[in-house]
Order: sequence, then C-alpha cells, then structure tokens
Amino acid sequence: MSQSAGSNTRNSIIALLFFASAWCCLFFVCPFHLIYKEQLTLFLCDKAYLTSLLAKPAFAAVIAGDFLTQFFLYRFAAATITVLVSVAVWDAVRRLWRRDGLHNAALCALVPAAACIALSCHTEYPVSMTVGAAIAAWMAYGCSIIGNKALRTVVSVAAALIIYPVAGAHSLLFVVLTALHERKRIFASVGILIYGTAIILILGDAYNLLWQDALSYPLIRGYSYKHSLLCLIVELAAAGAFALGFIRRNAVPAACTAVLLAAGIIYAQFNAKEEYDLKVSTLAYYGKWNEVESMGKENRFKSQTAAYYYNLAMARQGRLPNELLNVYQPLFYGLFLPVTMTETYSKVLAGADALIECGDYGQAQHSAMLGMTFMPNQRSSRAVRRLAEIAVYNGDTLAAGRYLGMLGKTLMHRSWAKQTKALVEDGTAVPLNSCRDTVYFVNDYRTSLKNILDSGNAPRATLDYLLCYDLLIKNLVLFMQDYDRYYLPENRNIIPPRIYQEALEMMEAGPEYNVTREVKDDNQLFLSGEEYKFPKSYWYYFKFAQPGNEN
Amino acid sequence: MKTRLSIILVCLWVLVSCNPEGEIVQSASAPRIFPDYTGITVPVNIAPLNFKLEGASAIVLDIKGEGSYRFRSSGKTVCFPIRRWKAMLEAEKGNTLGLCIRAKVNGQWIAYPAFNWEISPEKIDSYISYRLIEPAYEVWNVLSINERNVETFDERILAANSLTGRSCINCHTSNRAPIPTTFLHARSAGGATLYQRDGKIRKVNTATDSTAGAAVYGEISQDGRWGIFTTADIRNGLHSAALERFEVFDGSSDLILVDFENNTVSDSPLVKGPEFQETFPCWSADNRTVYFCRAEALKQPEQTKQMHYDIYSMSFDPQTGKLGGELVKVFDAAARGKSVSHLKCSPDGRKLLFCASDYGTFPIWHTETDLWMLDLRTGEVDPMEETNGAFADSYHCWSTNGRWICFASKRDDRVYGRPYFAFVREDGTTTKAFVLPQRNPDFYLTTFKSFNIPELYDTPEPYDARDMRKFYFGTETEQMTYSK
Repeated sequence: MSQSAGSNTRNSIIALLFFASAWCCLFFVCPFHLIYKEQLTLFLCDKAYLTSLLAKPAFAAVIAGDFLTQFFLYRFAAATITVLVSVAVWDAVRRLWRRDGLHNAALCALVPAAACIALSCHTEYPVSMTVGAAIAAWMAYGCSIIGNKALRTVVSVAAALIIYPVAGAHSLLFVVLTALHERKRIFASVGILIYGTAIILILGDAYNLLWQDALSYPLIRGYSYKHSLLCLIVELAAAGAFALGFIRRNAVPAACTAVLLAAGIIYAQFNAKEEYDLKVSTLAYYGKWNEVESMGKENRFKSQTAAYYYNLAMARQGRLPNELLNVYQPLFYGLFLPVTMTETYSKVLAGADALIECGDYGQAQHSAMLGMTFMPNQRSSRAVRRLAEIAVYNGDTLAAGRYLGMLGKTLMHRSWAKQTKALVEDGTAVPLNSCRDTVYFVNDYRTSLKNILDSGNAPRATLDYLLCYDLLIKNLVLFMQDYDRYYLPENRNIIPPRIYQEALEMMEAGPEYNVTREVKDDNQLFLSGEEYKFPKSYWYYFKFAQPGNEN
Repeated sequence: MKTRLSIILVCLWVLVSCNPEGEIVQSASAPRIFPDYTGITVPVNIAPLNFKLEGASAIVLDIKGEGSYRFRSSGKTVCFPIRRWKAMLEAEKGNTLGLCIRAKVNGQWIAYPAFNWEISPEKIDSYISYRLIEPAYEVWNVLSINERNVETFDERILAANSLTGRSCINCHTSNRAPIPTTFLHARSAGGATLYQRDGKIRKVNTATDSTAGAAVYGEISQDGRWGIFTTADIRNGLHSAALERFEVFDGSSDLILVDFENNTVSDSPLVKGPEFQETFPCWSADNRTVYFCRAEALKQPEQTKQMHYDIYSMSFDPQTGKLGGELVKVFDAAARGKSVSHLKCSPDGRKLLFCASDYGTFPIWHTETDLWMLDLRTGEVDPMEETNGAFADSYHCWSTNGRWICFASKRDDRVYGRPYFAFVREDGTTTKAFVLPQRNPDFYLTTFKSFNIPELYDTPEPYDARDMRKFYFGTETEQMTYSK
C-alpha cells in the first residue's frame, strides 16, 4: 500500500512540528526536570565501571543513556537529546509500519514516540529507558526486513532472547512490534508475544529482579516515580496506534492521539512545584544566588526548598536575621533539611548546602552521603562533588582524592576535579574544621552549631543559623542562652537585628540588650490587639505559625 | 619483491616490539602498583593478583622462582591469564618469587626494583562472603550479601534486599564446620534470623519478652546447635572533629544463648543487667568457653569516649546448655587505654583475634582500630604491626585451617572498606596484608560500595538470592521462647 508523495510530505511536516513543539515544551516548561537527571547519575568513562554494567540488564541502553545524560547539564542539550532519542524511536517504528503497509505510518509512529517524550518529563525516568525503546524498535525493524519467513522467525526468536540484556524493559516494544508485524501468521505472532514476554520475566528473575522491576528496569522502582509500570504505556501506545492506523486511515486521529497522549502523560508526570524546587536547587548549585534570592522571595509554591535556599542566600550576605520573617518560613525546615528516603530529590541533594555554609562539615558529610545513598542507583554527580568539597574542608585528602579521582573520569566534572585536586596538592586548600571532638545525635543541629562556635573558627553564618533556629523552633529560653553566650559578648554596643530585639523584648531583656524604643512600643501595640499591623514580626510568628503540610 | 619486503618489515616490527630492552632507566623507588601487592605472602589457590601501574603504557613483568615467567601488558594493567597463573602458583608452591617490573612511562622504559611473593602451600578457604553497602552511616538503601570464589573471580548474590522488601540484611556468618551451619539476619517487619543447617533454611525470631531484643553479633557452635549472640539497643551519633565520622554505641547490651534445636533463648545473670554491657561473644575452639567484651555501662553519647571494653570469658556446658561458672578477665584492654571488640578464636583454640580501638564498641568507624592477636596460653598480645594499615582494620575472621585471616580495612581511603587477607605464620605472627584481587583492579576505585563483614568458608552456600527470597516471604517464622 503506497502513499502519495503529497501525504508523505504533509505527514513529515506534522511530525517535524510535533517534535519541535515537544522540544519547546521540554526546553521552556520542564527544563529542570531534565537537568536534574544529570545530578542523579554519575557516568564514568572507565573500563571497570562499564564492565560492571555488563552484569546488569539493559547494559547497552544504560551505557548509552547515562553517557548522554552527562550532557543534560546544559538545558539546550537536555531537550535536544530527549527529542532526538525519541525521534530514533519514531523513525524505526515509522519504517517498520511503512513496510507493514500502515496508512499514515509516520503519524501513527508519533504515538509511541510521544509516550517516550512525555515519560521523560519525570526527573527519575532515565534516558536509558528511551534509548532502550529505540534499540528495541530498530531491532524490530531489522528483523522485519528479512524476507524469508522461517529465517525471520528464527532471528526474531534469537533477538527476543538477547534484547533484554541489551535494552531492558522496553524490549517489550520489540515483542509488540514484531508480533504486530507477524499478525498475518497468527501462531507466529501470538507465539512471539508470549515467548518474548516470558523471556523478559525469566531473565529478570535470573538478574535477581522482581517481576515488577524486570518490567521497568532500568527505571528503578520504589522512589518518587510511583507507578513504574506506567513506562509500558509506550508498548500500549504502539499497539493502539497500529490498530488506529488500520481502522481510521486519515491522518487526523493519529496526530490527535499523539498530541493528546503526550499532553496527558505530561500532565500526569509533570509537577510545577517540583520544577520550581529543582530550579532553585540547581541555581544554587551553580552559584546563581541573585536568581535564588528572587525566587525565594516570591516563593509562589510555599516551597521548603525555596525558603531553604533563600535563607542560605541571605546568610551568605549576613542578612539572615534581617530577612528571616519577610518571606515564607516552613518552621525550621527553611534552615535545615533532614535527609530521608521519602524526601524529594531537591531536598535530598540540598541538605548538605546550609550545613557547609555553617561550617558543620560532620553533618554535611552525613547529609551528602545519605543523599547519594538515596539515589535510584546510589550514584550522584552532585553528591560526589559535595563529598569531595567536604573532604577538602575537613583536610581529609585521602577521601577527597577518592571522590576527585572518580569525578576525573567524567566528562563534565573532570576540569573541576582537576582544579580542586591541584588546590589540595599544592596546599592552597586549608582544612577549615577545627572542632574539638564530641559525639552528638544525628540532626541535633544546636549541639553541632555550638561545637563549631566553641571552636572559635566559625563562619559568620553559624551564629545566625543557631539563633534563627532557636527562634523558629520557638524556644526563647534556648535563644537567650545562645544569645548571651555567643552573640552578646561580641555585639554589646550595636543594635541587634529587629527579629532578635522582638524576641528579647518578649523575654523582657534588660537595657544591656539594646532593644530600641520603637520595638518596645510596637510590642505594646501588638499585645493590645493590633497584631495585624505586624504580620512579619517574630511576635506574630510565635503566636500564629503552626507546623503544617508543605503541600 | 613487495611481498618479501612486507615480510621483512613485519619481522622487524615483531622483533622490535618483542624487545623492550632499548634504553631502560633504573628507578630507585619501588613501583607504585595498585593494589599494593609488593612483599606479600599469598595462598597457592588465590585468584590472579591483577594490578595496575598508573601512567604506564606497556608493562613487562618477569617473575623468577623455580621457573621463569613473563607476562606482558599493552596498557597500565597487568591481567594474568588464569590458567597460566594457576600453573605458576602450583609449580612454585612453597617458593619465593621475585617480580621485576619494567614499564613504559611517557615513552621511556623504566625498570623498578624487584619485590617478592611468598607462595604459601597453605590454602585459604575457597569462598568469602561480604555485604556490599554504601558507608552511609545509620541507614541503607540497596544492599546485598555476595559470595565470591577467591580462586577465581566468580561472584554470586546470596541475599539482596531488593528481593526482601528493602530490609537490612547483615552478619552472614559460618561456623566453618565440614558441613557448615550459617546464619544471617534480616531486619524489618517480618524479619528474622535466617539459619541454614544441612542445606535447610529456617526463619527464626530470637526476640523474646524476657530478653532485650533479637540476636545481633554472634557465632554458631561447631555442631550447629548453639548460638551465642549479643542482644543490644544500638544507637548512633556523629562526631564533630574533622576526621571522625560516626559513632555507634549500645544503650544497653547483654548476651543470649540460642538453642536452634529446641527453639529456646536463654541467658545468664553473669551477662545480663544494666550495670555492665556485654557484646561480641565468640566460642572457643572446643565450644566450652565463651569469650566476650564487657564494659561498665556509662551514659552515652556523653561518656562514649570513656567506654572501654575488656575481654572476659565464662564457661559453657553443651550437655546442659548452661552458661555459667565465673567471669574471668582474659585481657585488660582498659589498662592499655584501649577498648576491644569483635572477638574471633582461632580454629586451634590458641589465639584470639580482636579489634583494638581507643574507646567504644563499633570498630568500623574508628580509624585508629587495629587488629590485635592474643595468645590464650601466655596472655601475650601481638599488635600485628606488619598486617595493620593506617585506618580501621576490623571485622576479621579465620580460615578453616587457621593459617589465614581475612578482614575489612579502610586503609586505602579511610571511607570504603575492602577485604584484605594476611597469612598466619607458624609462630603466630602475621604477614603484610593484601586486598582481594579483582578482574579489573580499577573496580575498587569506581565503586561506592564498602565491603562489610567478610567471612571465609570452604563450602559454598546451598542457596542463592532467589532461594532466599522464597524463604523470606514463603516461610513461617519460628518464634523462639525464653528458657530460664
């Protein structure tokens, strides 16, 4: 069944427009979902590392996918690579279905490609999944061009056996496409469908994967991607589009299906607040503090991550107490982010940043190590960079060398690793941690910050964080203790920041604390019932702020 | 004519490439190979000790013993063909091999000073198990217990928590009997101790209302019936100093005796109660004595640095199944400013190998931890200076014949533990340790996994991870009862 040159051109233009639109969507709407993928992986150009991947399913897809993920550091590259890999899926399916005589094959093939692009919008959906789909589609096309039916069946059976170790879960796409191709030989078609699916489950078991894991690998189940089997929508989309191509021969249904499917999955996958969090986290990672500040000030999603980085930006400028209550504060979570497995990636990888700023390298190291442990593959370029930095601050040259050695085997971080290594080797990087050793419980921020202050080598941010932490947990007794011990001796002759004055006034502090007349008068007004006049005061926070759900 | 010329050129090329002897510079310093396999004693049945020399673009390795052997590499890594390696070790059993490395570095051939390998005829156990886990303090995500054949590079997974509901799995331990009994713990809802004897796996819950909790560290007797374990309220904390990381301590700890035949748990007033903490028990070789660590209970974490555990012993009667007699102080670690942990008695019953740290009870996070060997007959202690590395040597075990020890060491980077082996000489002293060989030595530099609790044994486990999954989910847990 041949199509006219005119309809081919029309279909190609529609496909082009579709992929251009998809690129724009990825580039403008969810770029940080893609950029963050790079921070969740660590690809090493190293024989031992690559060899270790051979022992797992989808080795070719993972190697190619993780290699490409390195370039996701750049917004343009992230959107472009995502689209191009999906184009590879589309092109193989289009060629296969044209051989099958499918009407408007180019448009029908957009449907599984659209599913691939849409699934890619989730931070956790790895590039290797789409690469796996491309490998599967091209293998199906390769088998289809064998004219001899018996030989084609033999090759398809052999291919079904080897494709899971090569491409992973989307080897099911090979099975579906091949079964559709053989639809006129019903036994061969059903046979390959059953055999191919069984092979995936059997091999998955041999790889020590549960069946749900086998059907979604290299997507790792159990993290923020709640419905890992959703990835099989690519195969369903392919089957549906194929049927659609035969039932409705005009182009409109196929094109509409592709667009609707993509839009539907993106809607289900995309999380605007998460994009916001990932953006502010990434901007901070790259040191773009002005943008972090403006995002945190606005904080339109009332995000903990944005509040956290805003506070960090303020602390870097010595303005934390002045600005603390001018923005949304999610209790003390705006100061410290405890790292747990159930937290989002933006928080998991952010946890160490404020601790580093406070000179709390012990807890920062703990936080960064946990952050990396909670990644789907327990590897993260961002966490390794943090661990290397912390090791340098601690004067732990051996550990620093270990992490820098690893980063030296990446494409995107090796120059940073080289520079940092040079600083360590020439002695420019001086250890900053001079704390006397004490043992304290994890997440006991006060004890840890006080240790640093007692060492006499605390950064500026440490004291601000300690006092603000006391205030945000609403413990004025602890605030007074810490204020008297650490703040007052060095600042007897200056007017303290307004928030401190407000807390001191609540504690009826004496004249040596330099609480201004204005603050005393305002407090009287507040107590007389005119609370609404002071919505950004500590009095207001103390009285009304309640722990709540961030979302 | 052209053909002749080609043949001559090829012959010349072969001759030139076969002869690296051109201009060779003699290096005064030893080759910095990774892993450090210089000056070591190795068992005759060990897998090839593949190594790399950073910066080299070609290596010629000449080995001289009874015979002469030459191995070439066209890169920085020397990978021995396994058949030639096995034949060489077998032929040189009991001999000293001299190794001479010549390497092409930056276009220049360099000859390094030779070093030796002693090929011990004493075999090491063929299998080692270890847990692979990120050194991520108090939490875990994905971990597995793997079994590696030390004679080859074959490795398989014995238990993977991806198949057991992400539970923590730990402490795979063998009694190293001719037909070994082994156990491992799985911690989570529905978790238990998985006990393997005669190829049959049982799932037992050792926690009872009368004891502090489930079994933790411990050993099984040679007959497989008795288990001596710690039961502890384990807590953790962070250090504020730069190079310290983490501290694990016990809120309380006692010892329990588990009878796997009658499914009972018992204890003794000697090793129960809040005044003292007892932990890391082990059997003597004849299983009639229990050695363990004991310290006065102090408030923690405030006084963790004052916690010093000594070695004590008490008797055990396998006929009655009773712990008792008197507590005997076997080694006063506190008097030496040390704290001991992880006791392991040698198969001949003469030596006790343990970790010596400055304080506390969890050696793996103490960089100063060394292995010490106590002679149980003379009471003399050997600080094993030849064997210990710079950081945290711990979690050791003996081979079945008592001539090898294996332990986890963080000597290379202070963070990641790797399994090291050392030979025990006739006089009880130990040699320089060497790391478990890998097919590609760079493996150690590209993994984020720490090798935890290495355990030697001579018979492979009769199960694998899939079997373990079936037992974990498909077997009823046997509840143990307390027996006074």
